[in-house]
Amino acid sequence: MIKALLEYSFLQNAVIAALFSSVICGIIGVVIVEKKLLMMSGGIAHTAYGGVGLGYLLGFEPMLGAGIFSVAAALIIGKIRRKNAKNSDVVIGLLWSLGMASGILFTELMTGYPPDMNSYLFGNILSVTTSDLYMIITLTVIVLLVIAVFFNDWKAFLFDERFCAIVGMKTALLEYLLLIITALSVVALIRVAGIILVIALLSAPAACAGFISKTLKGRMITAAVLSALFCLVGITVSYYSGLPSGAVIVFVCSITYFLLSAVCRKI
Amino acid sequence: METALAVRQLSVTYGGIDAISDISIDIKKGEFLGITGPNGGGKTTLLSAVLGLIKPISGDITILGGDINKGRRLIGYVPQIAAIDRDFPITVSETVMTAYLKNGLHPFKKFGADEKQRALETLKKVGLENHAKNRINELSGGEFQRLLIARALATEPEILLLDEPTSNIDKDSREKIYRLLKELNLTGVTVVMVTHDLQSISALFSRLLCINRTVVFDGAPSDFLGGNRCD
Repeated sequence: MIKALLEYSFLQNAVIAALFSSVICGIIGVVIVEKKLLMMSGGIAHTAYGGVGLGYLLGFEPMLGAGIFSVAAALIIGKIRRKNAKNSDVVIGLLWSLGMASGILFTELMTGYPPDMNSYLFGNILSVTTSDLYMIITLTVIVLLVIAVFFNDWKAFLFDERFCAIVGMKTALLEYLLLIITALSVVALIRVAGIILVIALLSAPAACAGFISKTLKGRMITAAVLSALFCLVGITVSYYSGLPSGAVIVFVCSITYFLLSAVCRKI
Repeated sequence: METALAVRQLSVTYGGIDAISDISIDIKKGEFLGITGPNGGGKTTLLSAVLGLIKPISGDITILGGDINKGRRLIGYVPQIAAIDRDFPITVSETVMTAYLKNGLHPFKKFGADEKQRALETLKKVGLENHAKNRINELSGGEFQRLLIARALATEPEILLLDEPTSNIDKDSREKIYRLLKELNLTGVTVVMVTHDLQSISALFSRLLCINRTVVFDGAPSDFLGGNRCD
């Protein structure tokens, strides 16, 4: 594997993408798990499919479309959550389906051969290009900065949002910021795990870290390390077996979570 | 006596249904007011409106003579313990220090030695100074409730609002909390407490309100326990 890594640039790209996206998984995964926003993240991820389809239809970069659709979905969900939390589940469900439906419709409307959408749905870390890599690195740096700069505000916000609002913290700004960086994280992870599988990569390392570390910062670091391990195992298995990388990574994530969960409950 | 909290003709609806309707209350500075009423009667809604967390459809709230936006900073709020995730990775001391994150956002904020000392002193007031470095999930229910009171006290409030602070905790812990609240009240803090535990705490209240969508009783606790019903 080391020899192949030195030899093939696609493997180098895959490893670098895995390491950077693991930072995102560690940070945003823990935030999403602690704030119980997994379903919302699923909604945002699936809405991205519409953006990919529109990118292909209108001839611009599909990942840019994914970013625009994800951020728009995040802002809509944020607005609805603040206005009427009861309806937010319905809106998330509808955006989830609407995103997928528009992706299918947009690609059907294209003239000529339809593009292969599987790598967006299920991810293919072995096909990460240099431009994908720049996007993943840029988004990782943005997410890292947003969380690190306001770390104590995030901690208080995740613990008790109502109390933060009462003492005058800008909770609306934090909530929208959280939704936007969640959307950007989802976009960064699409090439690694795909729209459908991204939730496992966001939740499993963070949930595993919850068994291991007792501090918020510790959980983020542990989740990032675990995520990197899961991705590297996934890349290795995928490289040697030819199995789809996204599915292998998610399989490794999920099995580890269930094993760790069983062991920790016994203890 | 100066008014700490004035609520005038306050109404709140959820999805077109009245949660509370036409509530008017004057709470004097230094009062120890109990609020009771049936579940779903609007007690927590009233507290949320006073804290500015929900918008009423009509009515006014004045806090220590000022409007709600300025006034709510003078209120310390103690939520129901069931509303808080006790598995969240945070220490007892850090929980108190979240109260120092007032107004806006705090880029690159690190808690200094003076803030850690202040948090410790606040924890002393509620008898939790030896638990400062513990995780919150290592506290008992009663200790956790006292921690939430400490966090509210760390905001240096003039009015303390408590939402069922003694539900689901043992008798000894309940007694400790009652003693603590009485001591705070004697130092001049106005205490407003939602509770169902009337028998054991009625001696503390200077006044009792019963709310069932609107105010159905406002008077001495002894009169309420003597036969007035809250429906």
